[in-house]
Amino acid sequence: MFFLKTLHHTVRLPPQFFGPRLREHVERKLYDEVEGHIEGRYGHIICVLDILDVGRGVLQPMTGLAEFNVVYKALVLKVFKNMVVDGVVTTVNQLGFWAEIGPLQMFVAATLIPSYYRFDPSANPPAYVSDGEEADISLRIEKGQAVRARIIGMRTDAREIFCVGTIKEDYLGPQEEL
Amino acid sequence: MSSDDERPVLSDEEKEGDLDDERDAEGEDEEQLERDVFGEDDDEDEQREPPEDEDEEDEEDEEDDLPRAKKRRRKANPFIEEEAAVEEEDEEEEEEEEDGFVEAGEEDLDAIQKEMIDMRAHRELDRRREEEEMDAEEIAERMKERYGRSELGRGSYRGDLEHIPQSMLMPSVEDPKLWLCQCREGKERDVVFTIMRRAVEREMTGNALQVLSVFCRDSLKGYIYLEARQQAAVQQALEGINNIFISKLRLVPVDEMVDCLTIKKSKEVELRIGGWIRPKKGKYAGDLGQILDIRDNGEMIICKLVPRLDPVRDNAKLPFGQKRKKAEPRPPPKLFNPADFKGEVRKEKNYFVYNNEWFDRSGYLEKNLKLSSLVVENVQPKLEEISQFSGGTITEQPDDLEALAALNISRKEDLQIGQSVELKAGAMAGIWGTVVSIQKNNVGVQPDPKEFPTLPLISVTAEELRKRFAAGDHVKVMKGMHKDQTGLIITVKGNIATLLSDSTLKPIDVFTEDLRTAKDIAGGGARTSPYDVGDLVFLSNDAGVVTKAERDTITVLTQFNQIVRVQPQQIRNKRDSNRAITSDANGQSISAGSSVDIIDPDRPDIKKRATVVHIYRSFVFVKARETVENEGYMVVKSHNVALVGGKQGPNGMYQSPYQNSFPNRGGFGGGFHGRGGGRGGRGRGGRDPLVSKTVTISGGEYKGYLGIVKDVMDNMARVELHTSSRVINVPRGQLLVQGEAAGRFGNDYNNNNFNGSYSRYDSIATPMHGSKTPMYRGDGGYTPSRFQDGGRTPAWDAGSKTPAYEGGGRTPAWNAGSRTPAWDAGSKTPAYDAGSRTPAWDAGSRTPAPLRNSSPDYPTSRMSSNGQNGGWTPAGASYNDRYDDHPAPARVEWPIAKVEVKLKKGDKIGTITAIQKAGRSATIKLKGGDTLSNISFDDIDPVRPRSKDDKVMVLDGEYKGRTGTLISAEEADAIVKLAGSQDIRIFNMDMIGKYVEG
Repeated sequence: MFFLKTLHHTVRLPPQFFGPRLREHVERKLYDEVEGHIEGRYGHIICVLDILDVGRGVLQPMTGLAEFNVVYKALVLKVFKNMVVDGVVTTVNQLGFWAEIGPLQMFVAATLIPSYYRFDPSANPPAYVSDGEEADISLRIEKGQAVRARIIGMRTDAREIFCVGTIKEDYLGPQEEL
Repeated sequence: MSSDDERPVLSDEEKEGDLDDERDAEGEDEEQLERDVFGEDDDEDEQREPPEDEDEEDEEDEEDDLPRAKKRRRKANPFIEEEAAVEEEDEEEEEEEEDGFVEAGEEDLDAIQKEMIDMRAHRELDRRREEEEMDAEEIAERMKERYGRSELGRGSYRGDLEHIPQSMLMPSVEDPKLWLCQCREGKERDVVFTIMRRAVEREMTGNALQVLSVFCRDSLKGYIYLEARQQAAVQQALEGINNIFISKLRLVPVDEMVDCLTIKKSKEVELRIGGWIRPKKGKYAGDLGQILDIRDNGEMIICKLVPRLDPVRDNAKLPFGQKRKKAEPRPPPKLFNPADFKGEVRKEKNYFVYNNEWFDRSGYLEKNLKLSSLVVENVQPKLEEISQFSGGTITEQPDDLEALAALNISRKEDLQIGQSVELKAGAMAGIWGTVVSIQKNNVGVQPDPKEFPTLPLISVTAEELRKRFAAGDHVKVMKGMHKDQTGLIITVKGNIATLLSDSTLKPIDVFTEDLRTAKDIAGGGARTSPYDVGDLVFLSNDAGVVTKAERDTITVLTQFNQIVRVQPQQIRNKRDSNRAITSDANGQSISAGSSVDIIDPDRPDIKKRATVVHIYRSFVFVKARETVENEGYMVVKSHNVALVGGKQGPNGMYQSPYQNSFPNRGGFGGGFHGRGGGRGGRGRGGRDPLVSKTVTISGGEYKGYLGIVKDVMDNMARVELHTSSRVINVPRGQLLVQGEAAGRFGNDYNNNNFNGSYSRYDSIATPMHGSKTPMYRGDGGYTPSRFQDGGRTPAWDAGSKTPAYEGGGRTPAWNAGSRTPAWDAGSKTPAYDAGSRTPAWDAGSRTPAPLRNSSPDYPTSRMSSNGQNGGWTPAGASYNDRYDDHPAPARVEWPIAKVEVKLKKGDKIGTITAIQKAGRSATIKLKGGDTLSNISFDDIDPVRPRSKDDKVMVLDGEYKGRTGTLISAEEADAIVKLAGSQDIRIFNMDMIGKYVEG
């Protein structure tokens, strides 16, 4: 789910940037440091929409860096357990398939793919192919395919959010169009 | 026989009778045996007779059937329970006894029997009538009265009567006694059977054995037990039997009798076909085995094992009398393959027999093992071990899962408060909740409030619990092969969870009991891999840098910018890049530790600052602190990096170490250090250029002599004199190389006070040179640092590395390497330099002045690169700036004819008309028309072009000597269109000078 969130970030600016375009540097540094990164509680910061306050820089006596406590408004993507998400398949192998939900990675294990999908390793690209009995049309899960899955678990670390999903439920699986 | 007689009466049960008959035929012998061995007491028989007579004919429909049967059984042999328990046989037995009684006259028999049957029928009828009048309670009362005694009175048997308190069944002094007799070890069973046979033989004779039972215990070797009332009866029974030591007869105290017959049930409970065991000793000690069958009352077990056979060793015939050494390692477990043992394998039914061992079709060894030699409790098989038994995989067949479910029992230690658990046994099986307390034996479980809102706290033992995990939980493996792995659970089946490992991203199967919910992500755990992040490793084809090192997986960024996950075994070796060197985009040599800017060929405006970590051929592995992907490691082609500090040459190599060791010196110090270090390094690593030069000695005893330098050590040179072919030691400073300008050799180098030395150093009055002095030479403490860096010897390396091959055509380091410090320092002639100079050469002599002069905006304009280095200290920053800057104007070699110059003294402008390289001086034609000759290089500065379309001459670098037109000039950069081509180049302002045509 996407959230608009007001967040704080401390920017440390080296002294060589103290000058007329200081604010610009602070902002630039903020973009560099937060966009595309994970903010523990809030999820994946997609972009900084607005910088509300840069604050007054405070010099650190030891390093000479100036600290700016920046308040900004950001678009944040956070996923929850049991959330149904749309993604694009990136890798398919016999263990399951990987999909990207925007900046997040999701893995759907073979056991969480309905049994009427069979892994076809000889296909190019490798794919899970439904045998057509359960589904009206033969469905394929291959690289680039849009899929809908439900998140059953996730792990957040400093750099990535990683989810495990399932498509073994009604209305989940390959989608015509996202 | 007698049952035939009965049959007419039991007309309605004919069918039954037939059956009986058939069984009688089989059972007869055995029964008789039993009876004989355990000798019925006559008096008891008499007591029992009335009830037996009473209901002999119609047992099926009687409510007193059961007690009767039980009572009968008591006289049977606990040794052979099954037979004794069959009712029909009892009946037969009864009749035989009767036969015994009436042996006297065969013809009376019929009469007596008929009479008895009659009487019985009558009594039965009476009783039934009576019963009909009685209510249930009365009947119960009566039954108790009638049969209660027999249960209490006899203690020796307690087969099915579990509800009777054990204490009531204990043998007392009135009961028959138990004797223990020693026999030959291993013959216990034989002896027991011999006695039994004897009992049978003598059954009908006068001297029937008075022994009630005989038994032995497999756990007690060399002894048998006999139950008898008198010792004489025992002796009688044992007399003349082989393998028995009758003298060693001993009475078992009453209170120990129970123990003799107690079979430790607790152990047997575990035994189940399909269960798991581990042999305690022998070749298979510790291996996992599966129970195929249980024999001999649970003493012998047929197990399935993965054989450990060694075809070579097993086949080797050992010389007679020589014993196989114990220390030999046992062969690894491997399924039996008959092809490995050709000619020695026998086929029997569905088995292969080799070496008297039986192997089944799939290659498992089937072996008889004694229970006592097996671990049956708490076997805790690992999933991997089990999978060996199911052909490598755990199938989802119910059998498998059930078997697996049984074998992994959770223990108290595994549980934690807060753990989600499920009750797997007992009345409340299936309920789940959370562990709230763990006491001595019990675990308090609060049932899930949502699902079971009404249930109170339950207290159960740990064995009744199963850890409960749901798909998606993040867990850590606590035991087993996958110990310390973490991952997300994909599925849970029974007590096996499949989880997706965080480190390998592969599914692994583990027991839920071995799991624990975990927040942290632990890749490898305590056991670290031999490879560390940042190591340069070689795979089969590629080289790469380790970006993630876990226990089982190592992530490598290869030279082709691919991320590969490999196992440690797949890595061939690792190397360091201490000596590797290559050229950057500008031909500067870079090595590990160099700070570089990464240039994207498509987007030259974007630069990324990074540090070189490794160099492999023309691939440079760099680490950028602000990049998060791959731990900041990137691979770039060497021509896509530029050494930070532009054309600063080898200095770059040293900057990081020097920066670190002398931060207080700021940019300035760093620079000179760089140089000093470089020189030190060269002096060490390479051949001194003085060696094998012809020199004139300019001082001391041998002044004026000519010689050849054989060797150079520090300040001393060993010179072989031409005249007397003697080798003498001469201070370096006293040497003059033939053909070079006199007096140059390292004089100033050795001269500590610097005064009176060359004009080059002190008379060149640039602030730069002045400030250089203390560090460069005066600083005695410097020397070590010069040499401490000796190991780096870039030049030396470079020579053998031929950067030209990899980088461009330029060999910056080459020159550097062939120079000695002394040579560098003082003895250089401009002419010499002009030819062989490298960009690197001058690095040390740069002045920081231009930097200081740069506009306040300067850092800003460089923001894109500098801005990333957030953590810099001021000193570092200025240092950096210094390198960003370009060579100082006061270069010694720059002058070229036709360049406009400015005299430092007097601010006069002129043009160079001629150059005397040897004297490092120039002839200058002043604007006014005067001509000044012999103006030292150091006294002039080139005039920088300022306005568009100024003619310029390139004073340094690749394009030295080329002329062009200034297109625009900004700050320190000048855009120049080179004459004679359409090339437009950006030069440093310091590198160009105003050119005067004509």
